[in-house]
Amino acid sequence: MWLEGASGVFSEGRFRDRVRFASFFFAACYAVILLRLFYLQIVRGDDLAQMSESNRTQVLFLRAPRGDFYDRNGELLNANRPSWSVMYSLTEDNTMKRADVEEILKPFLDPISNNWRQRLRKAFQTKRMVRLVEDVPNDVAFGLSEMGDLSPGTRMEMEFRRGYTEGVTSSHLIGYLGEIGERELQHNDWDDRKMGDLIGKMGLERTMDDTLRGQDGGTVIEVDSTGRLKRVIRELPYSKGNSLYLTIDRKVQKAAEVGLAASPTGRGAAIVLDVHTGAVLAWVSAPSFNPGKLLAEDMTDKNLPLFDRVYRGAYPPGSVFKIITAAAGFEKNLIRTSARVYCEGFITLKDKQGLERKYKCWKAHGVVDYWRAMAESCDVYFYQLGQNVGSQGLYDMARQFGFGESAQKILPGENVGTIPNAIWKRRKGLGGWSTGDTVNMSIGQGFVTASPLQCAILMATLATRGPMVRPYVVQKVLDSMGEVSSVTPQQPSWKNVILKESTWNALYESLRLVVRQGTGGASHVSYLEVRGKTGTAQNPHGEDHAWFAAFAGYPHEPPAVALCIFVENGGHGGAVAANIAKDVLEAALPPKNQPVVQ
Amino acid sequence: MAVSVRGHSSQSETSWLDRAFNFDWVLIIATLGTVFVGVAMVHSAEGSQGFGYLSRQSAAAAVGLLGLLFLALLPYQVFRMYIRPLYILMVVILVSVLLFGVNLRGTRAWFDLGIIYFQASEAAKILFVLSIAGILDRRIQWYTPQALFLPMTAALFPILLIIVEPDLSSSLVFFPMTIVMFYVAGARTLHLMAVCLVIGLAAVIPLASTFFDLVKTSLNGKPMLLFLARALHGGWDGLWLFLGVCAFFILTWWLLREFRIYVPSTYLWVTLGLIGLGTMGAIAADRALKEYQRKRLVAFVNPNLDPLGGGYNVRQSQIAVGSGRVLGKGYMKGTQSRLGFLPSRHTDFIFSVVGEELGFIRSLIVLGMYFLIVWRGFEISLVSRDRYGSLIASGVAAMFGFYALLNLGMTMGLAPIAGVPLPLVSYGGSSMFSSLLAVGILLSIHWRRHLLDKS
Repeated sequence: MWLEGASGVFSEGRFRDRVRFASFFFAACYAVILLRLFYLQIVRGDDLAQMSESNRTQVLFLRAPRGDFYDRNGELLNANRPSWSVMYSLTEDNTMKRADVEEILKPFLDPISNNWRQRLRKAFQTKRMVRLVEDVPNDVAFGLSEMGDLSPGTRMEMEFRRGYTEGVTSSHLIGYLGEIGERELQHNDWDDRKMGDLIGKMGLERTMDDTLRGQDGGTVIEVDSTGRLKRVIRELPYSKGNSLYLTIDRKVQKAAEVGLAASPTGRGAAIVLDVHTGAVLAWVSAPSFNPGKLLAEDMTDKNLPLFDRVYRGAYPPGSVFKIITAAAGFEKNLIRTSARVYCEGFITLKDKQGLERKYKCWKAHGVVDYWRAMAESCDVYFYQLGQNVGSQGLYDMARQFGFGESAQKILPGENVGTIPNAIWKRRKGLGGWSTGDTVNMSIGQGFVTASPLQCAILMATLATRGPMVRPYVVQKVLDSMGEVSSVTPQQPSWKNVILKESTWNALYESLRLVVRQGTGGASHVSYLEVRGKTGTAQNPHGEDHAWFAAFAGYPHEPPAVALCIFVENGGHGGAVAANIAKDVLEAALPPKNQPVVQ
Repeated sequence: MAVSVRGHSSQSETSWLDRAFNFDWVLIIATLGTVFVGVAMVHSAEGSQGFGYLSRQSAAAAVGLLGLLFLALLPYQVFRMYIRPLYILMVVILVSVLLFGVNLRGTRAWFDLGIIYFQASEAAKILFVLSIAGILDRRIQWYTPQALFLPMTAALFPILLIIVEPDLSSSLVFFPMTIVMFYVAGARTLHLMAVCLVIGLAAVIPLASTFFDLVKTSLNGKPMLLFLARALHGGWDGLWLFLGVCAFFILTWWLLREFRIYVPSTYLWVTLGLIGLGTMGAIAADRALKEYQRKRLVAFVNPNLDPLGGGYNVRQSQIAVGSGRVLGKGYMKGTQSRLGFLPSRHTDFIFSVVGEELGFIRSLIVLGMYFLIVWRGFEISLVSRDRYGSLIASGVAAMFGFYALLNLGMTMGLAPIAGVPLPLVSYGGSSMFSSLLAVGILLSIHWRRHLLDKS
């Protein structure tokens, strides 16, 4: 066509063709437009209608109170308390500039919050109601209400907050709340939450969040594109969340909290279990925090108040582990209880390089048999026993009793501790297994670590002579009307440790001797039969950890409770931990003939 | 001047009376229906604020209908005698609006006539069709490049003036309308494609560079795209890209030659020349484009890029249309429009109100009436008694067609937010008036299809 360039006339026929083509072109384009209209209105109609609906409506939300926590006797562990929140929305007035609103609110909010300006910006951006500051002190709230006319968009709302008025208790177990973050909003677990919602950040508040939270209410309104209220569509009532009855006994919990707080370092953990059901009577980690008023220092404190030592801390168990060594020895028939060993305060072993190394006992016991070795916690006796049993024997017995594996399904983030063996050591790149490792392991030192919870479970298993229960804390759930909506059924035992009857008997007797005439004397309660074991665990980071693990019951009855008291860097187990155990046991098992004092 | 009689050949059989009332009734009914729907929807869009828009729009429609009647009765051939004055009048209007016009909505496109504002490009569009059709009518041969040059320049000059206002959106209608008129008048397709290539390059390069600016962060780690993004901004990278493209064409041509496929070298040089011309145009356009214009264009490409900025309108408009579903929310009950989520709802986004309130079925009827107007325009082009009438009719049809495509495409997220009204429906006196005049000219051409040419 280009080169043709002739002077040919543009004929009428070609003209008509071209007009037709042009009109077909438009017809085709129109077809696309029609298809698009069909796509938008029919295919995506419901979808877009939904978006149009959320454009025009918003909720002036009212946060529902969360459910309460009670202990096993129905005593309140926490209570909701009313508090003031400052809200801002454009619904009442959208003529004010953000800078002017900021100017009015500045003297009130600046001292109590540092991110209210960002939230205010959000209100202007999204044209939705936002909560500027929560839990405003009363004087600020009253001051702000008096400013009402100056800033019509600002409102005070009464909302319920977690308040732990009667002293702080069970903080780690119950956990605390926080505003949902950006990352959590995108996570599947929180897909029905919206910006500004409170969610559990820790403990049961977190794991039971769906149960505890209520149904938020509010006023559904129609707004225009500037966010201004057009009319009220409907009121949504809120409903309170479900309440939880825990297995915790407030008295026992309190005794343990007081005991740990009074301990030399104030750091540690205490856990008390009902040996038959696994019900947790006390769950204490110290130092604690106030979940109703979380402080910024809590996050940075060197003592880690937010760290739940009960199940997230794994420490060398020290002499508590000798129970495992003894059990393995009895099972392998390696112990004659009357056989004597001479403790001169240490043993010497040759290591791989042929150098002599000393393994110390905490004192020179002289001549000891099994009973004395256990009661007075003679390391030298167990060094020898451990070598006879061998590392694999210790390993198998420890694993049987639940060490090195998850003990509970209550809270996430458990530290299962370490029960070492040759394979583990090599995989960690620490070289081959040596006799020294076995020796260390036999007294719960070296690579061995365990959580206080695991030690308590060891005691509970001894108490039941085999059946091992999983600890649980939620006894029943009550709905918002106070009706019981679910009760935790009796847990089947998790596993069963099978030892010879003679082994159980020997262990029972030796643990009784620990309390009656040995290192655990401080835990002796006159009207109870307490069996336990102290531990004083060396650790590379500082002072020794003090341990005391025990199970107890009334005389001539099967043992009822097991406990483990752990004081971080507390020093001697018998002096520090056993003391606390005595108070806890007295709270858990009060004298039978006396009336129970609530 | 060649006179070709088209339409019914057995015209002598019909009576004078029959012929007198032989208006294009389909076009009339479609036009009146569209105007009625338009006025009603404009009233709905103004909401409970009163009757201001309704009365002004009705007045414009009434005046426009009088003008329509006048032009329908006036022999359109009159205009052919005054092609030069018409063209000069158009240029004078477009230049004087640049000098004396008032600034409304960021463009100096309006005359302040005391009681009303009049949009210059609306007046220009009638004059444009009448004069360009006249210029094209002078040649009955195929257009050679030499013959194409003057008429094309004559057509592009007023478009350039409109762009300078800057009324970028109107030029988006004027340019394709010009191409259609030239196409119908016998310009070679290849020549028109060359023109489109040059203009297209001049438009696309600044657009693409703006787009890359907005998505800059997502380009990291993609060296090719990064280079492209930089090159589109000009500078050395731009030069390298330009030379690279040229080298690519030369290499292709040479390779084809090696394979014994002989393409005349003229093609090569012309292509390269066109690319160079387009690039130069792009540099000029890049300097002229305002920031908000770039953003609007980019919002079309990706509305989610900036949901509260340029993309907000596209999103809200689609939500409005889609939320109408099959039966609509009911007249005066559209929440998107009445609560103010829909921007420019009485002007550019009037169809979003139609879609939201009337629903799919009734929107189809509205679109159908609109399509009838365009379709009748091309039919009238075919039955017109002379070439001049044909060219005018094609031009008018293309004008309505492109306005509708751009506007509807915009409201449904298929075209950029161009700020193009939907003629006869959108609020705006100038647009209503000139659009009705255009329909009047169509009716005149149709009515006179059987009459002898007296000139």
